[in-house]
Amino acid sequence: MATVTFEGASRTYPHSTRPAVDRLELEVHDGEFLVVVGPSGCGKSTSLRMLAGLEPVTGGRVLIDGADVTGRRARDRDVAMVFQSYALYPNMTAGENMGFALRNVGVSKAETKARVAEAARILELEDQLDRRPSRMSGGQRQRVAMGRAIVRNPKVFCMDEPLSNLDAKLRVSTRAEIAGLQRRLGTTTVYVTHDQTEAMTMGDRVCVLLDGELQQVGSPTELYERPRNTFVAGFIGSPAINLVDAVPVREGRAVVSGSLELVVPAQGPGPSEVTVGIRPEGLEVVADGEPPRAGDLAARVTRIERMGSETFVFAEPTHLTPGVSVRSGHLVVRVGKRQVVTEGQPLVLRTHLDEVLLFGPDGDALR
Amino acid sequence: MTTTLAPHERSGALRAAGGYLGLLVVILVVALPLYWILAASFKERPDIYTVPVTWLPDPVTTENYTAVRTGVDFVDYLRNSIIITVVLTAVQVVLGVLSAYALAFLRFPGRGVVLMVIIAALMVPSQITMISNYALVSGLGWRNSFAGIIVPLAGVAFGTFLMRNHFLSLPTEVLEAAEMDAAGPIRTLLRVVLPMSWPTLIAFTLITVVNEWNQYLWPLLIAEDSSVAPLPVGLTQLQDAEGLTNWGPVMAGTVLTMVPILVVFLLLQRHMIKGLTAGAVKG
Ligand SMILES: Nc1ncnc2c1ncn2[C@@H]1O[C@H](COP(=O)(O)OP(=O)(O)O)[C@@H](O)[C@H]1O
Ligand SMILES: [Mg+2]
Repeated sequence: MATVTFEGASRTYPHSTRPAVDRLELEVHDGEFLVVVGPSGCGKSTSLRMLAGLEPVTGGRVLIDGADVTGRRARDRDVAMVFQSYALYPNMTAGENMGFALRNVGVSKAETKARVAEAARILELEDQLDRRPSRMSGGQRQRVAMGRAIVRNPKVFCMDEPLSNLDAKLRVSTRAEIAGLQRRLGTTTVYVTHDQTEAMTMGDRVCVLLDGELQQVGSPTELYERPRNTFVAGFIGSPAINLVDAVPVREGRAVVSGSLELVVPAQGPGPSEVTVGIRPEGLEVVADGEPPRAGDLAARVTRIERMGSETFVFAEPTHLTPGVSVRSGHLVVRVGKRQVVTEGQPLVLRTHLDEVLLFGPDGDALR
Repeated sequence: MTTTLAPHERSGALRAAGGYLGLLVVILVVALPLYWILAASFKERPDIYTVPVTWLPDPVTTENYTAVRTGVDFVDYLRNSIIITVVLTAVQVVLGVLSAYALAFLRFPGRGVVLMVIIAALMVPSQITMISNYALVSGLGWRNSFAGIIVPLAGVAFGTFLMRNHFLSLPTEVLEAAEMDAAGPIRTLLRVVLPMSWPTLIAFTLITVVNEWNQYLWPLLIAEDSSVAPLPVGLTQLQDAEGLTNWGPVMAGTVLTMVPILVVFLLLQRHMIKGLTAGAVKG
């Protein structure tokens, strides 16, 4: 049971001019499952390693349970880590791998055995305890790495992309297992991933990083519905949000096309141009013959992706205001599987106006 | 019908031929003298000098081996060789592993300088330090003693360098896991690092054993009699005792000197297998 606080924590690697993590301000609540997500190289692992004590903090502080641990060694922080590569000891059996930390701090043989057995039961590894890692499957190794962390009953779990070496199907089931296990144990957990689906499905809260800078922290729903900037909007959600750039603002209204105009919330003189964000489910295909309404967009179907339960239609808008461009070239529209759409077909798209997001020229959300 | 080889097949055949040629040269240079030593050790004295050469000893005799035992204190030399080799190997392996561990994993001021000094020590031929070492050992009154032979040879540079480089190649995350698991330096070394390092450590040990077993010049300077002199020095004694024309016993002595090291080699080399980090990282 512990809280974790990053207080303006920075890490600049030697011979590097930019900090890999720049003045990170983050509070992880007691028992919370916090997911740190961002593209590769954004400083996720570095942040986690600063918490674990494997990476020196070059500015600011890291606190666990209110105590400053910035200068404390990894072993004295009572933090357990699950590495991306699992980092199991190849010469030890699964049981020895899990019990190693306990034996190192002087826990008796009998108690170590009992605690390893308990962890093995939870992780369904009972019949694997005498095996070496080299004779185990990837999923089993992953669970041994988990077991090594949970037998210690630490204050904080750190997990660095623990699922990235599993195949897609196992990843989905293990995802649920880890989240369930964490709820049961109630141990504060910081979980790093580059996969926004993992972030959305596992985290109590999600923290988005880009280039070492914190972009936004919030519940998955919050990030999805109220992203603070275009980066968060584009990173969270799959397929990605549709971003329409360089939309001119006339008399307080962003004019996407002749029929689609959006009110720009602004104090004082608002921006002259905005970016409009519309989620794939924020667009709807209007049935043939229905009379056009304000908020409709004309488009042409360029590609169709059928996922089975749903279908994503890629469409090119045909009557945009001159100068307006769609990032990635097309709008993605989520339609039900029963809707009949064919390639090349002209469409009318209806926008759910209450779900539209607006961003200023600097990329920050306008509210 | 004639078969024409495609260019890559032709170059493959050429390469194979080159390989066999190389093999042949190696056999001529290495194996032939070894065989000659072995054959001569079983020949009668006049047969060693016959022209044309006889490849097989006929008749086979073991009198050369008897001569080795009676001519010099062979057992004493053997004992001395074993003592010197075992002590030197133990000291060098322990020192090498510990210093390599420190240089690879511990952060301390002057680490880079220490490494440079060790690499520099690798480049100094031992002959250069021999005279000053001799003066020192004499001054200490260590002539004709094991201490006099062993202590100046106990420095280790190559092993430190070899093991350090190997340690640096180990997966860092496993070492970080040991750090997180609160393993101290000695436990990390014994339970995590060394179990992933056996092949390199055994290679290092083997090289050291062979090297120390074959020490000649330094023991020759320090040892004065069979109480401390190792086998290579003993072989010289044998040559002196038998005169310059009786090579049979010298060859027999050489064979007897080689056998123990050969046994050690065969025992250890089986363990020089790769893949000890399998299962540590990645799925
Ligand atoms: N040991 C290192 N030395 C120098 N730069 C590093 C080191 N490790 C990571 N970096 C740099 O720091 C940045 C963040 O890395 P990292 O935290 O590993 O990213 P992530 O885990 O989000 O992919 C990257 O730009 C990376 O190149
Ligand atoms: Mg990473």
